[in-house]
Amino acid sequence: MLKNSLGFFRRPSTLIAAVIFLILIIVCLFGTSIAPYPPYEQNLENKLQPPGGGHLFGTDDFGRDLFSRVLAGAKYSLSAGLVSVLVGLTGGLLLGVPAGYYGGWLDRLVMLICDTMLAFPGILMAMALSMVLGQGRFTPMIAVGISSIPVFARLVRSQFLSIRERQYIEAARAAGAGDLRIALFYILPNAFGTVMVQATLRMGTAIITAATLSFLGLGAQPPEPEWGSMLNAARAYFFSAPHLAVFPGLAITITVVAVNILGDSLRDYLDPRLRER
Amino acid sequence: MNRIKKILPLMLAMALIITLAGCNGGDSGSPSSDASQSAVSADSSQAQSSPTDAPSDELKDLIVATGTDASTLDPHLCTDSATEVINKNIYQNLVRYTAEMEIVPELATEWTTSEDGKTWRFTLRDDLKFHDGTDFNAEAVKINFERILAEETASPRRSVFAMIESVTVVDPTHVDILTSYPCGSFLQQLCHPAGGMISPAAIETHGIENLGQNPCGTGPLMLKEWTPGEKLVFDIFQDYYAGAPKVKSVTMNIVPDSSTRAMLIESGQCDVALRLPVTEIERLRGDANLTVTEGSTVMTMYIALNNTKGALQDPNVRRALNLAVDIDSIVKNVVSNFSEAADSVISKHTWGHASIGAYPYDPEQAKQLLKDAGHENLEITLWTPVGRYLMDIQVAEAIQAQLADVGVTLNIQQWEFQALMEEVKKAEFDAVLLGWSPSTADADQGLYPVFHSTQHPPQSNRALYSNADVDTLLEQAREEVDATKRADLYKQAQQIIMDDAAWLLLYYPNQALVTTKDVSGIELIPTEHMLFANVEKK
Amino acid sequence: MAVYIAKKIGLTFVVLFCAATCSFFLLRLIPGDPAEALAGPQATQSDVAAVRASLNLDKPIPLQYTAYMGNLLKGDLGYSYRSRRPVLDEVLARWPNTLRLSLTSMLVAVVIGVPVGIFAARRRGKLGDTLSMGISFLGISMPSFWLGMLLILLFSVRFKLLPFYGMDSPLNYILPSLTLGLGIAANIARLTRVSMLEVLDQDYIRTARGKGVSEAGVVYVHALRNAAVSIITIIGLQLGALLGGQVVTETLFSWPGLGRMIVDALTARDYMVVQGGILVLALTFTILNLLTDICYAVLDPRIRL
Repeated sequence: MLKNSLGFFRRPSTLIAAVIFLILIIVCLFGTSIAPYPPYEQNLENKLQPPGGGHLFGTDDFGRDLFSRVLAGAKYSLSAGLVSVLVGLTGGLLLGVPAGYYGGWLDRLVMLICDTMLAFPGILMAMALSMVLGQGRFTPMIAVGISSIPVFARLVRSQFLSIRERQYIEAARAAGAGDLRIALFYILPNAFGTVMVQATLRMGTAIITAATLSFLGLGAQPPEPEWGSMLNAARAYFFSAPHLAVFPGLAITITVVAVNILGDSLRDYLDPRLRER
Repeated sequence: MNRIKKILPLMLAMALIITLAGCNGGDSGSPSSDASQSAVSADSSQAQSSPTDAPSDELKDLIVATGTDASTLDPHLCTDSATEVINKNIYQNLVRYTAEMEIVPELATEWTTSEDGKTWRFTLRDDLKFHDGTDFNAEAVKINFERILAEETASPRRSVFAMIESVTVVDPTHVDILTSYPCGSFLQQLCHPAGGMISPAAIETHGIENLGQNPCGTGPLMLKEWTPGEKLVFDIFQDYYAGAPKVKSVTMNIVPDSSTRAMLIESGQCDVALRLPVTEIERLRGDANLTVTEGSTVMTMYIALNNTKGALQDPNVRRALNLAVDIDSIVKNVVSNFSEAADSVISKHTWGHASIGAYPYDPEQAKQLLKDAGHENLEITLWTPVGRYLMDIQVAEAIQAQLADVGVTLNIQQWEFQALMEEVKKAEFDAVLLGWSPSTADADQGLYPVFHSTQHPPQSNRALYSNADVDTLLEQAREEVDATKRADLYKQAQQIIMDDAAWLLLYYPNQALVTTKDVSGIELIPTEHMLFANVEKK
Repeated sequence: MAVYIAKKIGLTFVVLFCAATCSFFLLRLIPGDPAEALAGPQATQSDVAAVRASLNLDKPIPLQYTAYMGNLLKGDLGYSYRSRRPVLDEVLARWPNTLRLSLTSMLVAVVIGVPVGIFAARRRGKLGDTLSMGISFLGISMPSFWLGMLLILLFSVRFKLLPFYGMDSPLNYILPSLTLGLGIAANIARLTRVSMLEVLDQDYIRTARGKGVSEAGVVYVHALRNAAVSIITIIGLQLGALLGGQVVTETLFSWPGLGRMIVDALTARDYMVVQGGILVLALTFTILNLLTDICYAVLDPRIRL
């Protein structure tokens, strides 16, 4: 086991990404207590201060400490990544498993649903869905998740299609295992790795899409510090306070880089064919 | 098979090139062709214009950066203020507002009212032509009002003129308008942009469907070309009665991002920038090459408190909320003094405004009132749109912080605007941040729809305010033609509404126009319109 | 081959039919009333009712649906509520802008991505490989709206080198194309690298090398041609995504494209324009997919026809 995980961290980039991710999780859990200032505390006399002085990243248009707000923003973005991938994955399994297992008209129906959903531009789909779902902290995350269902559904389906032909599945069937049992205990575990890789990589995309929704004013609720809405607010101060536009964007990028590297390493780790590259 | 492998990528590349070439062609073609046709017909009238006009080669093109594309250039159908700004320069009304909100003659020179206050006789200018060269006369006035009121037009602004019973042509320069009741605000109603006069010939030719792309009025600007989403180009109407503007043409470029508009005016890539964020205006004030013109509006920003729900039913709780919010600090720090603290529910440019005086900032008294009312730990939810009004979210966040100081928990819920309006109709909210801008700039439009008890949601009385005395005053004022008496009735109504603290009253937002130093003569009207009739570019 | 293509085309029509149906009903699930939106918050209820009737929005939804689909079959996309222009005109005024920007962005992506991928593959495991792959990670992970803001700050505001507004000169295409293209370039670079590595290990490449074909020849003729299959696939897929994914970039660069038109129409509840815009994007997307599929089938003999 130890040797295995050592293999995963073989590359230094993976290790760095894992450390960043760990820090992000710590920030998520204890963000408000680590932060030098309360992220919601307004001080209108002290607004739009440049970085330095008592404020590492400067202050925003309410005189709130930007560093503290960027730290506090990790929570929303990480939960957005997690929730939307969970929603996408669940939906993908519900559609993809029967399609891949039974094939036939069911498969064709599921593929038609996927093709139709994919024909909609992703961000517009997420916008419309988050409008339909209405108010709520998790609404934008769920909307992003739903719009990623077809990606997962297609992947799960193709995995099931190829695995169900394998001999040990035949053997299990011959031994009298039912459909549900075969799907859940014989095929799913074998598809697990590939699906997990995709899930990790989709998390990066989901974080960006959720931030884009907030950037367009359809995401997080104020005064919740969220990186996308912080960038949106920063646009009004593009010249007078460009630092407002730099740090939240940097935070998104670093988070997504970490998630993507982890996903990539996971793929290399699980797919020995590519391991030596 | 092997050969196909080689040929296919080539075919694909060719297909792409053909598509590209095809769309280049399509781009210059379709949607603006109708508009250019109408411009051609207008050109013929241009040729007849008097030779005393300044030679056009000295004149320059004026470039305006605006935020949104026009919707429809049919004034009877238009509903958004961005397009109204344009329509006000294509079309003219019988009378209009000046920057000081005086009502002055435009297409009419003078008017009289009958004894019973129901019949209005207007004397019209006899020297006016529409862009298409046809005459403006009493018949045109009749056709226009009948068009707005006609059911098949389905004008969203029909109710502005709903009191008109009939229009009678007396002779080509005189027209009688009969109203169903003595309407105190009739002249103010006539100033509404929906009262713009369209050429009857154009109405005949283009019908309801196509007039919006083929505008034809009597104003200084004539549409030449309209590329949806990109720009509108206007020629100058050389026969404009007050003398043509001293520019060669006016181009409205659609630049959706407000920071981009600021960058454009700063770098000299446009001459006029509309609707800039306050933060940019503050910064551009220091630029020696630019002129920032600031003006007030007729809008009032407010938080509609649901007068029928929970603790908010108690006027003392509503008063406490008003006392707990430091409007002066918000005006200074959040909206950068780009507003004025409100002293009544209608703004000072609205006809009938009375300076009642706002609640002072007194958190101690607010706490006491809340304590006495038994609501020390009040928790309410504020709904707010995002980006619809000047710094809306920021204002909501500032109020949230101030109310926390008196122990009130304010939860903010932001909404996409149309969804908000739909949800507000159900009247289940606690409080909602909105702006009310009476488009006729009259107290009737400023008070009746938002405070009369018959106007509860789905209508516009979004505070669900009811007061029988106010109802009576508003009804009396509506049918009062004596200006002094009418103003007094409105003053009483405003006093009662303020005493009842129906709203959490905020401020009157300003408007601004940023131009380069070379540009002068644009008139900024508090109804958030701007007139280019006297514009000049050096 | 012909049967395969015919089947795919048939499927495309079914997908388009479903997409039109979905967008019709999805829009009607969104809270907000088109008549209210058009009439504005100050309109009286009687004015709103008149507007609603004039737009046929007072009819039952199934009736509206059959009318819409019936017109669609005749090639009529309906009229915009807001401008009363035919939706087709609205779409055609913007579609070329979107398509042109998509193609220049893809050009940027290919011109940057493929050489970087080849470079990295040839220096496998060396510093150049690590570095270029590291940068490509950055490219994939940056939100494009932030990248666009940074590019404007850097190239337009600070150094005043490139325009951030307008579409008349080729220079105008640079910043928006970079904003949209860099992320895809990173994708293409990574993919090119992996498929090159896959190919470089194969027997026939070794044979080619053994036969004395020059190294450049090996890389450019043999390896690259075989990597082309996956590169074309990703171009097809990403071009489809590009068409609909420009909303924020179009706003930042004042680009009059389809994405912005759809979002504006969504905000104004101009259902017909949203439906028309989505349908045209879906049509373009499915046609691109079809072309990619055919291409893929032709280039990769492993796919059964």
